[in-house]
Amino acid sequence: MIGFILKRLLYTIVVMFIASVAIFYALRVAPGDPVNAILNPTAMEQARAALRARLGLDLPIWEQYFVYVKHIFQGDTGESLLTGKTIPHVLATYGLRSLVLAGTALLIAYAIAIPLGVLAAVRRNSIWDQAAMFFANLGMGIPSFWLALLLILLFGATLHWLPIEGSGDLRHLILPASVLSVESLAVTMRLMRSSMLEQLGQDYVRTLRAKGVRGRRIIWVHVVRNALIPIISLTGLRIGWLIGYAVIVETVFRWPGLGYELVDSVIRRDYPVAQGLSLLLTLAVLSANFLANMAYAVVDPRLRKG
Amino acid sequence: MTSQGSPEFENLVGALEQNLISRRQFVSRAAALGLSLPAISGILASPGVAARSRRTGRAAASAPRVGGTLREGYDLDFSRMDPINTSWYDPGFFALYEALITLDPKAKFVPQLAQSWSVSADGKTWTFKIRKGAKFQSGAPLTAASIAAVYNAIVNPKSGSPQIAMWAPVIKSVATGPTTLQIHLKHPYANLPNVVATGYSRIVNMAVRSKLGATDYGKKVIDGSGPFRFVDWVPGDHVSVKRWDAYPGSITPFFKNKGKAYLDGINWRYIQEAASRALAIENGELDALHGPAPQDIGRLKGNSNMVVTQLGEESVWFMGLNFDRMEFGDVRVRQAVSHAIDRDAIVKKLVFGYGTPAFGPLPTSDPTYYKNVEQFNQFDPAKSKALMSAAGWTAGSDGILAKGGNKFSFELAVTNESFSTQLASVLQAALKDIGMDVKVNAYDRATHFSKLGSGVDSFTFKYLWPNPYDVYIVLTASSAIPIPNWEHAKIPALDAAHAKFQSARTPAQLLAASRNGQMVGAEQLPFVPIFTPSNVWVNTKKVHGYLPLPWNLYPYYNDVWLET
Repeated sequence: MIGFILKRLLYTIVVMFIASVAIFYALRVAPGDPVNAILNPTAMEQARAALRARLGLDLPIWEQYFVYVKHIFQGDTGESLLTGKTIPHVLATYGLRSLVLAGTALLIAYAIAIPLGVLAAVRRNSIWDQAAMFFANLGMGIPSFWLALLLILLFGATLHWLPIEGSGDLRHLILPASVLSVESLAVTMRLMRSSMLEQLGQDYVRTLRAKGVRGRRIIWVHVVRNALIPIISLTGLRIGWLIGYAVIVETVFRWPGLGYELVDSVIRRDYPVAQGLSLLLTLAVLSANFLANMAYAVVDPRLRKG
Repeated sequence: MTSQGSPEFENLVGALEQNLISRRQFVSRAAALGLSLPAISGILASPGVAARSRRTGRAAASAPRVGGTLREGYDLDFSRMDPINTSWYDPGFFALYEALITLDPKAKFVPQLAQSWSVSADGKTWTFKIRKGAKFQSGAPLTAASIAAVYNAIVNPKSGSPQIAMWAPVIKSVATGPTTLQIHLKHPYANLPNVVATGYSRIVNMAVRSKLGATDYGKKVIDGSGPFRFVDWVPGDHVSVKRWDAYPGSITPFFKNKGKAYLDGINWRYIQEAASRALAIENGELDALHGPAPQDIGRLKGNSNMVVTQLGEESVWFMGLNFDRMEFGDVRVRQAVSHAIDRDAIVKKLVFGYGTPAFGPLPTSDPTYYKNVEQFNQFDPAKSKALMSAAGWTAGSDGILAKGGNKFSFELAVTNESFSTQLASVLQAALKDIGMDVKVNAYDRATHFSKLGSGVDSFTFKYLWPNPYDVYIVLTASSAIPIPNWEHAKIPALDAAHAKFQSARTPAQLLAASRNGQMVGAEQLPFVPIFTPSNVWVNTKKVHGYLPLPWNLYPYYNDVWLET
């Protein structure tokens, strides 16, 4: 088992190293210069050269990389070239907003999908079931950026009910969280329906009915509880998926979360922030894979040998 | 029973007239005095009571109220707030900092930190008398020495100040006493007031700036002398400030409020999407706004809750043609490009009439604009074709001009913002009509300016500067090749015109030099001027004391207050 863990750990470290080189190199060879985001476009070349030297951007790329890695090992992840805020500060500020957005979206999705999934299963093949599945298919198929534009047009431009970009009060959260929730809502509704149908065919349901337990009690106390198990298992995966998917939604609604900040930092060539956030996402994926591998290995001893 | 003529009754009516009691209180007290309801209604409706009540009501509404946070939307992202070294100065600079002098609503220079000034007989020494009692938000005194330190930092070529070229005639700034500042010049320089009045010359506490370092100051810490203190800056999102309660007050004559600010704070919000800006103020998310989308201005003007202020803007959208590429060094080719552009149509179609065509290098709204430039650059495609023919270019079978086997095909680099790309498409179509094949490439801003620095065939750019002739020099002087003279313009007559402007001794000489430079620029075309957009400010009617001026670029916030 220890050998397996070490092997997987080594694999993770190697992939992380390759990713860090790729991200570092890609950002620097892309056209554009962070100096242009810091100085006035009309600033003289002397000032540009002085700033490049101060930021270490005049060094060869490999040297810049080693300086960066050295700082990382010293616990210094760098700071934004634009704002001077440290990467942990950026992560905390923007990450919190992403979590709020993803959490709200998940809440909306579950609050609607679970009751509708139950209804669709209980009234199988009824108009309720068909309508719920129709909307589930629509939700899975509709591109989020397009839905976002439609909602902006309706609730922002036409009805003037809701703000269409930025953050501030709860009203700013409604449209992005709704758009972000749609896909999860659709997937959860379908999963809930199939899970409910599976549970409804189980022996314990027949037993409960034979014992004279009322239908609603069987559904809401016994069946739903068991049917929720796959939904709960999926929640962990969905949070990760939502944060990734939020990049599009955050960009369209200019919701200042991690996704928005990542895109913005790349556009502005704010190298430390772009690197920090990209590496964090890479690390998150690799860590999730590592933990999943560990979990599989615990469950299935055959994997420990491979 | 009390009669209507009794002293109690007269006192009650008096209290109502002076707004000491509400109309509801009046009704209940009058009833208690035994007056009938029809009699009370009659008193309330009587012209005297109603008029006096309305008058006092208006007076109450026009008395400035302390409190509230102004929420102002803005169409450009905010920059690091270091006047000496910033990518651009924003509205926050007018709340956080003060300048030596500023411009009033009549475009006249008036005191701000300097209470008076004079020029020596030889025109080479300017003496400014600095007001007493000025201080920085940190509590440090603001003296003539503080101002001299800022100006001496700006003239360092490594400072990053976009004003370096404008400070070129300055030898040094010296404080000869706590309230006396002298600026010594190489030669007379009548333009100096324009230079010291911009946002880039606002006064920062150099001790604080030096301690933090030139690249870190203005990110998290700011020490100016304006009526507001810095709270935070989030690029791409907002800037916040709060009232500085120890503000010593202003001596600027056109400010009605000479004391501390009325507002508790200001929050400027960047709204990238043009279409979202008007919606934000209509939806009650903002109190004021700069730069709504042109197609929304008419709707905002029709909104009875909004005040729309439409001013000329000290800006020009232009097309830069690289003198080292595609024979753009030949003035006939540049003129051919210029005559192919239908500026009136661009203003009408692209900005819905909210703008003016530009035929010379300066915007029509600038006080020094010289109308004679309009004899140049009129829309005339036939003239364009003739000019290209004279330059040896003939149309091939595909309609594209060619010479010696080379086609007239070039890149137009623009930023990927929606207006830039729309304008590029119009230019592309216009130039195709005279046989030029234009390939439009849209880049993000960081890439765009890197490309300009390394050289592109052509590009578009909008300058925005309080004294446009200054930036005209910056963008076209041959000494500024390759940055920011991105078009690599080398026009000796223009260099001479600029030198004359920079050594003008009197305002009259300055105006004459400006006119000369405008005429040379309109004819020789260091860049091809296209148009100037309108400078549109919107505020809700509950915002008072809000006075945007074109030559200051942004409003001051000393007088601004919010009605509840």
